Amino acid sequence: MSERSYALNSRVALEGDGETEDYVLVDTHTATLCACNDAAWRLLFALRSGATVDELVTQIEAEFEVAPDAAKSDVLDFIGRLSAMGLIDEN
Amino acid sequence: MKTKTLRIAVSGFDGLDVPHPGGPVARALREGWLGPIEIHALGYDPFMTGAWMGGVADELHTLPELADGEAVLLERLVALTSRFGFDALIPTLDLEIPVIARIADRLATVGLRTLLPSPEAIYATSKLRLAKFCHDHAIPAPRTIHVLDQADLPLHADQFGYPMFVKGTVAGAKRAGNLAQAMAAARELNRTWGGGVLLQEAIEGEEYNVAAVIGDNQSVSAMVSIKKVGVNEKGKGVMCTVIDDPAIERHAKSILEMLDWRGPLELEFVLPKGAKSPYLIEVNCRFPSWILLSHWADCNLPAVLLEEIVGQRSNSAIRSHAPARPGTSFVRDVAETAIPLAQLDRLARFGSVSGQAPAPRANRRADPDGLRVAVSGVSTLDVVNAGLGVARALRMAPGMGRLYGLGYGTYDSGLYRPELFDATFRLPVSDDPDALYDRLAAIHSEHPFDVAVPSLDGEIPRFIEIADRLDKLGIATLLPSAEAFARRGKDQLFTDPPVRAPEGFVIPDTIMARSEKDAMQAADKLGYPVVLKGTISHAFPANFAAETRAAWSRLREKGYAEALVQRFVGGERFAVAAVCDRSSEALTMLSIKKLRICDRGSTWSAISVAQPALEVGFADFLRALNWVGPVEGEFIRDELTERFYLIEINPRFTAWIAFSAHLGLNHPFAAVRAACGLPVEVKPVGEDLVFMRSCEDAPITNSAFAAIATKGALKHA
Repeated sequence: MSERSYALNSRVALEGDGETEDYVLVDTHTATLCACNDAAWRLLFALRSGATVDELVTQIEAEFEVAPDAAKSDVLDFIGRLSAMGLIDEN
Repeated sequence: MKTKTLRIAVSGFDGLDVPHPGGPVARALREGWLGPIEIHALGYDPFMTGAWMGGVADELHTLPELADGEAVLLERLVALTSRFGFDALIPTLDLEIPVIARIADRLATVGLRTLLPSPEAIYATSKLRLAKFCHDHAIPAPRTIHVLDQADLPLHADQFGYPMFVKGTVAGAKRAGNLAQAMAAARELNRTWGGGVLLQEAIEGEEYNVAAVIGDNQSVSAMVSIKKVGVNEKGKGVMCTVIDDPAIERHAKSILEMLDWRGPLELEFVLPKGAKSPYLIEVNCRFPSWILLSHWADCNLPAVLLEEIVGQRSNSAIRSHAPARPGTSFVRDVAETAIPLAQLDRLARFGSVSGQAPAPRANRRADPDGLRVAVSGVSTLDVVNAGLGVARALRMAPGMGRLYGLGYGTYDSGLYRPELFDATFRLPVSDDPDALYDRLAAIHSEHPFDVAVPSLDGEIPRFIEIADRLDKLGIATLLPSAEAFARRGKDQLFTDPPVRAPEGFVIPDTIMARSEKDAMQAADKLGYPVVLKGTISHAFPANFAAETRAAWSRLREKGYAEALVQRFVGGERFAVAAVCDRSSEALTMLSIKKLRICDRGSTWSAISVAQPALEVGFADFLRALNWVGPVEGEFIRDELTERFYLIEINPRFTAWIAFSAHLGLNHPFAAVRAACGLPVEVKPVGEDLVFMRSCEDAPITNSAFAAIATKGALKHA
């Protein structure tokens, strides 16, 4: 599973204000907004051009002080949520 | 190459809280058309409030009533075109468009060009014919029936089941939860529009609208789809977002292919949960009032339409023909101004007048030594809250410090207005005064402020309860005691007033009803017509027993266990706004006559009037109430006796209070100074100005919306 690559599909627009650190994912089909924290925002940026679970886990481990198992669990949960919303494609 | 100035006539600048599309169309053309342009606003009376806002219209012109016939309208439009050189006409009102479509060829002969569907095409998808159109073309649509005779309504309504929508034949829709409400809605809509009513099953689901411009060759020139993200009590989208859902767009395009159309239009859909295709609710033969959103989404439909009409596509007169940018959003707010009475009079007498220049950009630099004020009540969701007017007035005052907006909901429009507030914060939706205190203390610790101005009836008791604790934090308030607040409540004010026979006005006969039977008996005792009022807000008139039952049912729906049944007084409406000091003496007082009110009773246009006897009597009344702080008395002058009847006392600033600043006596500024124990300078009130309010859409970013939703705070740069 970790060799599969995931990428945000065309339904997703990302909107962020670096100064105030307000980040939002917009589902452009339904106008659903998801406010994002810093970690989610970084994952979304990585997923714009496609990434594997391992790549995402490595990024989270490097940028946040998270244990590898916890990082992997969080990444899989995040991808699962995006998939349930129909916002991510699997290659 | 010098480009000729285009002179565009646009209609539809009224509508009050259900705004007509003309103002947004004019603003979209101003923003999106790159060449020189003049906007000529057309209206059927001088109170086209949207056209009076600064920078919207270069000229305003009145038209004859449509009832006078198309020949009279044609004559007027030809005369205006001859005098002002109109190049194009964009009508935006449902009733006028079929008439103008009929005379379009004759208008074209004098150089006034339009792009409109044929009268037959409009009729085919009109409210009366839409159900048949949908049936004939297998388009999903709610069950709808036209009921001509009120006597037939119970049979049809009970077959539909409740809730259902009762719709006027031209405009207007009311949700009815039972037969009494359906009957009352039908009577009201039929009185307004005639031709019976439409009953329509209520389809629950998410609402989507599609606006488009269809070219002369009947191809789609441009299209914008939106979702209504925030909907108010009237079902109007107060926050909408552009979407790019291919399923909605395919469905809309398939419908457009079935229409024999040219010009602008709007399709309204509801997507029931679990359904694959959205239901078609309406086809409107004009742009919607949210059309300015198309400009912010880089697909300016009014500019596309103008391009189609004047044939300037090769001149690249508009910025782009790109698809609308999904995720672009707006929130519906209001704009207010004061215009010279002479201008209004000139338009009424001569039929044409120059428009208002754009307002100078307000100096947003806060005085570091100025008073810092936090103002609540900043929503326009269902009614225009007073905090917006308070903020507007304070922005006009000299030497003000930072201004903070306090809201309760994510759709509170004022939270997203940087020209009003330096930062905005969400307050807890809770009856617990401690929760309010804790939140205000937390805000104050990061963004200190000197004065809090609560502006919502429901929150003021909580502010009264924590006023002493706020004072210890260094936050001043100017509020009445809990006893005084309770005594002005409708339940006590009319049944046990502090002065039984006040000077200058009369307290109307009132009976408290705690059941439908009580309400019926009270109405019989007072004689019809009556008005049934909730103890905090909402009022429903009743002309006979069935309407009393419907009004009682409406109030029960709003959560009221009792209602005040009051003799209905017909006549002109007045209001007296005041600020009382801590000795209950009126520091400031301003009387107005209301010139335009919406069906919720809010004031959208007014003029200041000298009413010394009324003011003296009201000041005595406030003294007897031991009132402290801002207050508004609402009155009706009986058209028979000329006596003023007290209708309501609002325990806060009124929403039109920015008008006081235009007149030179800034009530909110006086109140914040009095709250801090500073002297208040009382100036004579300026005269000959008319207050005007109009809906105004404002773009918002999704990150701002998310900041309010998740963090409860938004800083404006």
